[in-house]
Amino acid sequence: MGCNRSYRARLGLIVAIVAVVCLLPVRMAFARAEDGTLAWIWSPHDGQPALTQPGQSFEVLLRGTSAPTEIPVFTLEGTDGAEFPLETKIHGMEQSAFARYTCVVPATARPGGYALRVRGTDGTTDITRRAVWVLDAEPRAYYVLAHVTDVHIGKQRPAGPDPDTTFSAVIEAISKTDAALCAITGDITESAEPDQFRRFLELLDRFTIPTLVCSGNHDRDNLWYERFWGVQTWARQFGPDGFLVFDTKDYVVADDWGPQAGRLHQLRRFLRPCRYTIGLTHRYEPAMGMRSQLILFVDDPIDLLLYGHTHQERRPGEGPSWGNAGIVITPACVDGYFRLIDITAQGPVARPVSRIPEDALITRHSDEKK
Amino acid sequence: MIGGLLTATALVCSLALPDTGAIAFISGEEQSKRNIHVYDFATRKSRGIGTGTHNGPPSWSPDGSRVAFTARVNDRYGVAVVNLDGTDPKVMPLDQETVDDPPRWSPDGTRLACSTIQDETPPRFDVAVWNLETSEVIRWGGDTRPSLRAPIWMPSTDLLMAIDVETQRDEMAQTLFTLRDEAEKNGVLIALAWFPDKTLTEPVLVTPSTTLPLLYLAKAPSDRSAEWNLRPDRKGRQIAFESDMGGDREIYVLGKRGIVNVTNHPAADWNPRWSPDGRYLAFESFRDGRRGIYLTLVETARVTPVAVSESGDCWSPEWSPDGKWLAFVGDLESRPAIHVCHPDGSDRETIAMDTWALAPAWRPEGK
Repeated sequence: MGCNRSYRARLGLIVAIVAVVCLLPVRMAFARAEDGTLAWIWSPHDGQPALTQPGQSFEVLLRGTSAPTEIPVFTLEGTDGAEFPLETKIHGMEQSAFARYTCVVPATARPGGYALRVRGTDGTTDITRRAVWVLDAEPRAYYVLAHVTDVHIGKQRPAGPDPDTTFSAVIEAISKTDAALCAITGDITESAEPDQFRRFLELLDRFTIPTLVCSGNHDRDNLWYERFWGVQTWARQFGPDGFLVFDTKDYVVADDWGPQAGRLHQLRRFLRPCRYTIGLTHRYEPAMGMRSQLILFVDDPIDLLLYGHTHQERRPGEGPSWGNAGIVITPACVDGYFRLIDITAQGPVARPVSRIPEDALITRHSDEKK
Repeated sequence: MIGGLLTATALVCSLALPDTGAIAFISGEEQSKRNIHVYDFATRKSRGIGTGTHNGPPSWSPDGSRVAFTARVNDRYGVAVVNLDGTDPKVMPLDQETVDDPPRWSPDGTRLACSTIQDETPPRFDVAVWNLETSEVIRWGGDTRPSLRAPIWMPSTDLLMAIDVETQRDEMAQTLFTLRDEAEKNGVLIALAWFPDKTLTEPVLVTPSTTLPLLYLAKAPSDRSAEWNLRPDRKGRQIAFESDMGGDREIYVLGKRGIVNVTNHPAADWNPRWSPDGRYLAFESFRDGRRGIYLTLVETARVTPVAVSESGDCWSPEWSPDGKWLAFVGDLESRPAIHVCHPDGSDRETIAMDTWALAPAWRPEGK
C-alpha cells in the first residue's frame, strides 16, 4: 500500500513536471522576461514606459492581426505585490498588425513603477516590467533629467572594467541623485546581439526611475533592436514637457522616404503644447534627412536635443547649427560618464558631466568577478 | 503568413493594374540590405538590379534605359548607375562622399547631378555634375558658392528667359545675363542654398560658374523661410516647392502668376509632384489626421484626397508617365508597400512585396 502511494506520488510529480514543461513555453513565450524580445505587449515597456497619473489613461499596443472579440484583462503589478485591474477600451487596429487600447489608472494607485500584465480570454498572458510609471498628481515645474549614452554592452575591454560593470555603477550613481527620469540615447550594445540586449535589459531594470531608450548605430546591424524595443520613433509627456525619441539612421543615409519623417512630424505636433520639447537621439549629422531637420529645427523647433555617439564633450561647431535649439552631447557611459540636466522654469540647464572614477570601477569589476 | 497572403492576393487580383510600364523602388527593411528593384507591370514580377549596399531612391534616365541611385560601394557612399536589367554598373569617380539626396538626370540623359559633402566643421555641401560620356565630374556654382543641396535639372530655360532683366538690380541683371549664357550651353540646375545658422534655405539657379537666388528674381526675399523640394514641371515653365514663408509648411508654385500658395491649410503640406500635364500637384499632408496623399488643381488650388487611411500612413506619391495612375507607399498592412491607384483614389492595388518597399519611381515612356 505504502509502495503504491509512493508510486502514485512519483507519477503525480512526473505528470506535474511534464505539464509544467509542456505549458511553460506556451504560457511564457509571450513574456518579455523569458527571452527579452517583445511579444504580445508592443508598448509600453521598460524602454518606452507609459508616464501617467492616478485617474489618467495611457495607451497600450498589442500585437495581433485582428481585433480580439473580447477585450483582454490588463493589470498593473507593483513591486510590493499590489495589483490594480485597469478599466480598458479598444480603439481599433493599426497597420493591420496592432490593436490599440486605452487603460485608465485607478485613482487609488500609489506613485511608482509597475509591471503591465495582460491576460487574454484564452489564457494567453504577457508581462512587461517597469512599463507604467504612476507619477505624483501635480506636474513638476522643476525636475532633474539624467542622460546616459553609449553603454556598449558586449564591448571587449581587456585593460579596463567591462561595460556591464560600468553601466551598473552609473545606474547606482544616478540612483543616489534626485534624477526623476533617465534618457539613454543609443549604442546600448556593441554589436546588436540578442544576448547583449538581454544583459542590457537585466541591468536596465535596476533603475528605480523611468528610462527612455533609443537606438544607436551599433544597435542596428540587424533587426534585433526592433524585436527588443519595438518602434523607433515615439513620444512621451513627462509633467509639462515632451520627449521626442527618434533614430537618425546611418551616416548620410537620410531615409526621408521611410516612415520616420511622417511619424516625427505627427509626434512633434502632438507635443506642441508642451512647455519644452526635448529630442532624444543617438547622433546628429548635417547630412541626416533634410525633412527631419526641417521638422525638428525649423517648422516646430525643439528646445533641446540630447545625443552621444562621439564619446566626447561637444566640440566647437559640432551639432545642428539651425536656429536656437539647445544641444547636449554627453561622453560615453562605457567610459564611466553620465550627465544631469536641471529642467527649470527658465529652461533646461545641463550640469558638467559626471564620471565614475576608474579605480572605483576597477575595484567594482574585480569584486563582481569574485 | 499574412504578408504572403497579401502578396499572393496582389499577384492574382491585379486586373486593374496597368498592362505595361515599370516602377523602380527600394526593397528591404534594413538600410544596409536595401537594394533597387524593378516591378514590371507586363509580367507582374519584380527583380533586384541594385549594386553595393544602402541603395537610395532610384532615378530613371529620361529614355528609361538606366537607373541611378546612391549606394555604398567599397566603403564609400557614391552615385551608381545600372542598366534596366542591372548590368554594366558604374560608380561616380569622386573622392568625396555623396549624401542621399537622389541623383538627378539632365534632360538629355548624359549627365547626373548630385549632392556631395565635404568633411569640414560645419560640413559643406556641394553640387557635383557627372558626365557619363566623358566620366568627368565638375563642381557647379562658382568659387563664391554657398553650401548647396538637392540639385535638380530645369527641363528647359523657358522660365529663366521669361524673367524681365530690366526690373532687376544692376548687379543681379549682370549675373542673370551670365547665367542665361551658361544655361543655354550647359543646362541649368535649381538647388537649395543651405544656411542653417540663419534657419533658412534658399532656392538658387546654378550653372558651372554662377549661383543666383531664384525667388529674389520674383520677389523680395524673406530672411526667415526655409524652402525645400524644388520641382519643375515637365516643360520647365513653373516650379513647385515647399516653404514655411507663410508660417507653416505649404506648397507654392512659381510660375506665370508669380508665387502662389496652392495648398493653404494649417496642417503641414509637403512633397509636391507634378502631373505630366502640369495641371495638378500630388502632395502629402496631415490635414485629415494621418499622413495622406492629396491632389491640388494648381489653377484654382482646389484640393481633393487620393489616399488617406485611419489605419496607416501614405506617402511618396509618383505619377505614371501617362498621368492615369499614381504610385505611393503605404504602411497599411504591417509594412511599407507600394500601392497604385487612379488620381481620384479609385482602383487601388498593392504591388507584390515581400519586404519593405519604398521610394517608387515610374519608368519614363522614353523616346
